[in-house]
Amino acid sequence: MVDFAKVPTNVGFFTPERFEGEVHDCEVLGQVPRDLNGTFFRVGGDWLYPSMFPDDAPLNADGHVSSFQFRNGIVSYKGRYVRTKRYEADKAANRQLYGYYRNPYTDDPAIRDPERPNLRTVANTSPIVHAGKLFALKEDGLPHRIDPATLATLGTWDFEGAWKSQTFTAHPKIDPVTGEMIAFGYEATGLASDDLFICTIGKDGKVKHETRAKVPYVSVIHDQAVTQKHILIPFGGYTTSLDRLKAGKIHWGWDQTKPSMIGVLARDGDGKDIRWFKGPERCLMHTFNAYTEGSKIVLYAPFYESNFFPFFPPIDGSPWNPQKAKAYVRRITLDLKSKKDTWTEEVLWPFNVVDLGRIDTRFMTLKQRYGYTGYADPKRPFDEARAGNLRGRVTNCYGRFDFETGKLNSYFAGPTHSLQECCFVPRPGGSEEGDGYLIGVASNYAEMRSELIIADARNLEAGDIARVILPFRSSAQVHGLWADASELA
Amino acid sequence: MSGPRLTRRDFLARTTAAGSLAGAGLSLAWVSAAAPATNVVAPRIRKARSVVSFHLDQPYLDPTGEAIPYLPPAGLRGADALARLSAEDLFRLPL
Repeated sequence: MVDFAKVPTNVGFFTPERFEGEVHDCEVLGQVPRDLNGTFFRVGGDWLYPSMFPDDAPLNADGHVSSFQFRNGIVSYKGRYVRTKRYEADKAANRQLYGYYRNPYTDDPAIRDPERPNLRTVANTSPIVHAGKLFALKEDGLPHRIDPATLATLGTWDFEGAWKSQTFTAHPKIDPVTGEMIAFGYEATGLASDDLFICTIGKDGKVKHETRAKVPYVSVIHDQAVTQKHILIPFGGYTTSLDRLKAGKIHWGWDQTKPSMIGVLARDGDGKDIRWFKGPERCLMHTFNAYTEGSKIVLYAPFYESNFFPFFPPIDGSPWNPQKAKAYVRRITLDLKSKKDTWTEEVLWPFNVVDLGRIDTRFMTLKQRYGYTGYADPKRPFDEARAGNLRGRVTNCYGRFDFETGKLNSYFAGPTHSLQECCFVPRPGGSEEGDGYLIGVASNYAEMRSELIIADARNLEAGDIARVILPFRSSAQVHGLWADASELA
Repeated sequence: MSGPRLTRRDFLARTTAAGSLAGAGLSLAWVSAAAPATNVVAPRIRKARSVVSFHLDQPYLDPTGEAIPYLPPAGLRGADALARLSAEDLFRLPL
């Protein structure tokens, strides 16, 4: 019998969904723009069975992919689990077989296989569409191909044998100029390995360039940034080792003595030429974008002061510090002519934000003006009686951050809502940066349901144009992606 | 079947009340009894003062007990009270 009561964090709105389904022609408040013709894909985690350990990371939940398909002002929803080997094994056993996040040594002996840790991936982090294919990604395994119409899992994908790393990033970047996808895999040759493989995949979906490098220390390399000339590999603070894993600990711990790092490599360069820049204690997780200008690289990123995951504890035994688990919108400048291997950093807004930064991806790799992400505005109203004691603790706003002027435009979701990652959707026929829609799923804690928000990205203060109402909680997304209908044709 | 007909709403209301009483006696010292046997002894949080708090839009387990607790709204829709009950307890509820 399944019993989620043993996992104390699976409570209230955060109780696992554990079903698959679809809603044709969803209920809508307002008017869905009729020019939106495509699909908003989301990937997140939803436990099929309770975690083996109550203090495990929610990042270990089974991958769940969902879609909001837009056609002529009508929106339809689908949601399905990603059929990973792990999902199938658990389902066959009718219980959880897998232990801590990315630690196969804690798995049930029946399936334990530390030599092939990528077989236990849950594919729960992000979707990507490239060369007409949809994938569900997680950085500890290979991409899973997903049928974009049915969301059926079609199996893992190694680019016809050309992808050699055991792992594939959850954040490949697509160059809008060339159509190329830049991707990497870390811990590429096994658990706690210091191997980093970096590849360029042509717009035809074939690997056209691969290079390999060693990292200064093994850490989470969750995201990257790509310019027209360079690839940036940021990380910092988290560490692991085989000894740690064999001791039965969760994969990552935080080492505050470790510097933050940004590796810089020419787009067509050799991995042995990667240049590592060092910074202060920081948690470098997601990026907005970067561009190269002369000898300088400018990177916009909502990096954290320190460890932001409470379930990856400090390795020195000290308690996790929520006061340092704050992300700020930063502009980081790396000077390739400088002999100093460090960078300059500016905090552009004085308040902390959610680090799930997005841009108008038509300007990825290029100099761009706007970034979008959520943040908590404690001055906005919150209905604690209906939504719980979360005043000041929920993401109630989306912001458009103007990197040129410092101006902030805000969208407020309502007094019982929390916003998941947003996504910018270009207005069809438009070409100016920022001309489009900002969409994202809101959790309505009072009504116990999920709502897809659609707002005008150039007029956020006006509120939403439309809300697509789901009559249930859709599993929380980690990342989402808009794909125009033509991209999947 | 005899006796007054019980509506689903009444059932849930009574069950929630019973669940709340049962839940009040629960300790936060969770044991992973569901975990199958492994030959690795994983470190686990066992402090009785652990608290479920909230960070970045999701609950987390704070082993220090110093974080602000997360208290979801009272109500029936989350079925939280039901989730705390074993099937045996559920069927023994006085209805």
